[in-house]
Amino acid sequence: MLKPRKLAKALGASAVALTLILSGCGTATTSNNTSSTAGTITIGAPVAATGSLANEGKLVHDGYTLWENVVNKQGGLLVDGKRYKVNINFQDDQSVATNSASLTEKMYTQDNIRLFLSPYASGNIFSATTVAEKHKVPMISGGGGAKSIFTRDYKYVFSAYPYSGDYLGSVLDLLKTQGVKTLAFLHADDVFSKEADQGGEDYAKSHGFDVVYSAQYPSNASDLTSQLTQIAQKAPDALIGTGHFQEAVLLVKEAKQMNVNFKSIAFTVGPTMPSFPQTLGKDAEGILGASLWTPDLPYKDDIFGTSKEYADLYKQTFGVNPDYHSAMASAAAELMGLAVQKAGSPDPQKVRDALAGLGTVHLFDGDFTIEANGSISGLKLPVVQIQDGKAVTVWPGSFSQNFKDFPLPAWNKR
Amino acid sequence: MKRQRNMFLAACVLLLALCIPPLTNDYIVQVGTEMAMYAALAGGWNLIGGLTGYPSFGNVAFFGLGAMLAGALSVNAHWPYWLAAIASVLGTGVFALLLGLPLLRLKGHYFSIATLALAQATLAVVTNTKFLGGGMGMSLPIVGSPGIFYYVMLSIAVLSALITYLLIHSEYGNTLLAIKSDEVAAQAVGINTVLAKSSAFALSGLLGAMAGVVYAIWQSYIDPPTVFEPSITVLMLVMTMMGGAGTVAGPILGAVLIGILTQLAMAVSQNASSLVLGLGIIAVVLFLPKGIMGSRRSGKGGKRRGKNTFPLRG
Amino acid sequence: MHLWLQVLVNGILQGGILGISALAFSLQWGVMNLINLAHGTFQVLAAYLTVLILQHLGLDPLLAVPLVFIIFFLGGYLVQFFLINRVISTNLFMTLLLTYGMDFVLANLMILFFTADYKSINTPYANSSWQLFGLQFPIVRSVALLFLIVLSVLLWLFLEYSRPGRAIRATSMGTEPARLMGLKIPHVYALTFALSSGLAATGGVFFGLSNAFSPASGGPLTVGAFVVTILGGVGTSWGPLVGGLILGVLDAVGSVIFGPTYVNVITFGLLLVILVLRPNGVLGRAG
Repeated sequence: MLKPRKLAKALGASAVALTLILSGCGTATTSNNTSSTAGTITIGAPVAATGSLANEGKLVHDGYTLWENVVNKQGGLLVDGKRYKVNINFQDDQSVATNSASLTEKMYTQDNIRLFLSPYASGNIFSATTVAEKHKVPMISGGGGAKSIFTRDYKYVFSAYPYSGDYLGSVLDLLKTQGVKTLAFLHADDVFSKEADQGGEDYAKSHGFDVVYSAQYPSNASDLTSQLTQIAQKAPDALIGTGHFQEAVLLVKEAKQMNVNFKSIAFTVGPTMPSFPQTLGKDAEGILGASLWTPDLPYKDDIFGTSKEYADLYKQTFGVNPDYHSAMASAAAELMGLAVQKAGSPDPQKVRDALAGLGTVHLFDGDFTIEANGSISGLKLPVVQIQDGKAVTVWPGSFSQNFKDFPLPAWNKR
Repeated sequence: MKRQRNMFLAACVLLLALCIPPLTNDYIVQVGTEMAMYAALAGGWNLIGGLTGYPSFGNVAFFGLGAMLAGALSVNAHWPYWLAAIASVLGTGVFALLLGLPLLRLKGHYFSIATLALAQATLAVVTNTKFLGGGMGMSLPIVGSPGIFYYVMLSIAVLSALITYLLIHSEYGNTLLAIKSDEVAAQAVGINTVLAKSSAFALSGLLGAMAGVVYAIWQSYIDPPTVFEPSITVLMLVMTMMGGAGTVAGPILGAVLIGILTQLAMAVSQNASSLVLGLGIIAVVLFLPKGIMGSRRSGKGGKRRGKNTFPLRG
Repeated sequence: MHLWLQVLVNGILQGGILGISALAFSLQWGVMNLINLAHGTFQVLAAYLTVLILQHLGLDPLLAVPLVFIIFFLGGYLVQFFLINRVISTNLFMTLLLTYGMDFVLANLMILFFTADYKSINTPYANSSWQLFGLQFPIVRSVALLFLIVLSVLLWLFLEYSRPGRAIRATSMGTEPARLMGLKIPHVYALTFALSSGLAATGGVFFGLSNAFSPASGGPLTVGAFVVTILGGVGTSWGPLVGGLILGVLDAVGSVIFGPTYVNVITFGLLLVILVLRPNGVLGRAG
């Protein structure tokens, strides 16, 4: 039944191939690696360039890259009186979580990399951070902030992201000033969306809002017209959507198709990305987005300068305006730089201790404090509104002067 | 003679596999663990898809359910992990057995779609069940070392190959082959096809669940979209077909080959590794259209020539 | 009452979108026993092509449908003739493997050419709707349903009465008899794939009009087409219409009664029940 000779050849060949190829590419990459001896600090980053997360993966990739470029242009990172070039070693995890883990392992074991920046998306971060924690090397998240990443008592995992559950606070504060009372929440069923929605609903209830509708839909939903029909019967003042980009677009399209009008509409993901107004045209006007950073914020630091200068540099380098995904990634890379400087060496244990002891930092994306569990707190989150096809900052503080289109004009009056 | 040489070869390969952790590094061990996991999964798929001729598109249901159940029992019910693992594997096996009874009445593509529906429905139920993490996923403590997980996954892969070997060389294996080539005839000569098929499906489920419970503690974080990812089923199928369906070594060969292709693709290209992987798969199909081992056990179900299952009606 | 009527309308119209996507899948499956795992990605590619045509030629997406259809028809013919035909006679599952590889390659080529950014086909009417009896009828979805009905009729007429259509039908009953009738099987297969690629592309235009998409959006479309095809019965001209309507209405009503999070439990649970009770689909012969 089985042809033994063929079996033998195939099995033998593949076993040999496995060892040869794997060790082969191992030596190939190690020989390229000249970390620390030639004055280069290498940081590993398993970020998706292909697969379902390729879009946001690119933003994170560019955010990390911009930091690398700027630091090297400034002559390198000044550590203990010496200048080190920085080099970010990117690997494509194909958007698959197990690949994030195996690539982190590969960079640790074969490329001798000891400092890491995270992949995009909570699931992939979970997998990659596990490997970092196991080897006791620091990894900073520049791609997501699910609270459950930080409730595992890990010692080597840090973040530049606030908790997902905090995203909606600013939006609700803004709506409060406009006298909005009743809210409808719709959210997807993944970790990020659930945390963000739960945080938002809790905040709403404790701040005097009335949540009249709340439902969860499966990720990648392609029709939500019936939910909108249901929501229309409750006639809430505002719709809060917590999901993915395509679902935010779908909700706007279908709200218009079903002629369901709200005084205000807000999303956690969508409006901050340039493709949101491009995709929806004038139907995107007036829609709010919970953001983590905008170029208008009044912060600055030594590497990038002001938020505005960061945005200009980004545009100059990559040809598009940055959204918060890129800024958060740059901030994560910057945190790594700060920690290496404070530690006085790229030694992973010292960098880890430096990160834990950074306390409150002032970066171009805002002021925040590194907490004991590796997460951050204190970042003031802005809100954006689509005006004339652009995301304009309308919160916090005096930015609220920019806020307009309230209540939103009816769909047929646009 | 042939059989002895096969045994000898298998022993050599196993010995080589056993030497990987002490002789290589953690990265290769990590990749090896993943390959062993897929070899076990593909081996499990092979029992129902390759040997019995029932092309399942939903075997990921067993992997995912095994992982989530073990995670929930240990995290939410505070059972020790070994106990949670055993309970989860047995529970998933029973689940497979019970669902196999109605589903295995379906043939060909209808069975495929039913199993696909089974996997999607299981995912949806798990996502909506609070005890199973309700879509938020679960974190398990970091335990063990890469080597341990490698050896455990390897044992499951060996177990899966062993089961396949024993099945092929037993009366039961002939029953399955009979079902594959002509089920009606098999029934006519008094073979209890329902029992045979269902137990093959349950075995397939058991192996999937085993890989799942080890995956959960190995990765230390699991969430439903990851462990119920439909492409995991597709990979089991792709690996089995690539290596040779219905053979002992086929799923293992396929798993190793795809594993190497994936790692090679990621090493060669930083921004289009999935593209390279896809081209690799197409190349294998074009140049090895019968799978590496050839499709020696293929019954009627595997052939295309001759009459078609679905005559087109206007 | 009004709520339920509107929900029913929503379901029926979603059925149009689902059904039009399944037409091609059903045809390939019925004639060639080919399950095309790249089906959804073909549709996404068609959506991108429509965006390009709109941007560069200024041609309205609905008017561009014939052009998109022809381009995909030709492309599909070549893909089948030079690629899929090479393995289609060897083993049932090798074609599955091949289309899996094609899906990977196509999706990632799209990332290279169009970036991974989300796009949508944006026209003034894309988000508008007609109002009838106080109910909302979104224009794109309504037109999709009309298209689906017209295409189903045309497909039926083509298969029933035209020469190439009869060749396709003869081949679907078995390649041996077809060969004895003097048909060139590779060309019949290529023609079938060409036709279904054109149909897939038509569905892709409507998908692009009603959703935002990125190169990775194909997967769920393939699964959807799979389900609709089975519900309606494989290899019938009316199957996609019937399957689409059933699934659309079921999802809409179910999501209102039980909440949208249970949509997949309902859809796939019911699919299991239907399969076990009527394994050949709702239109098919009883099990």
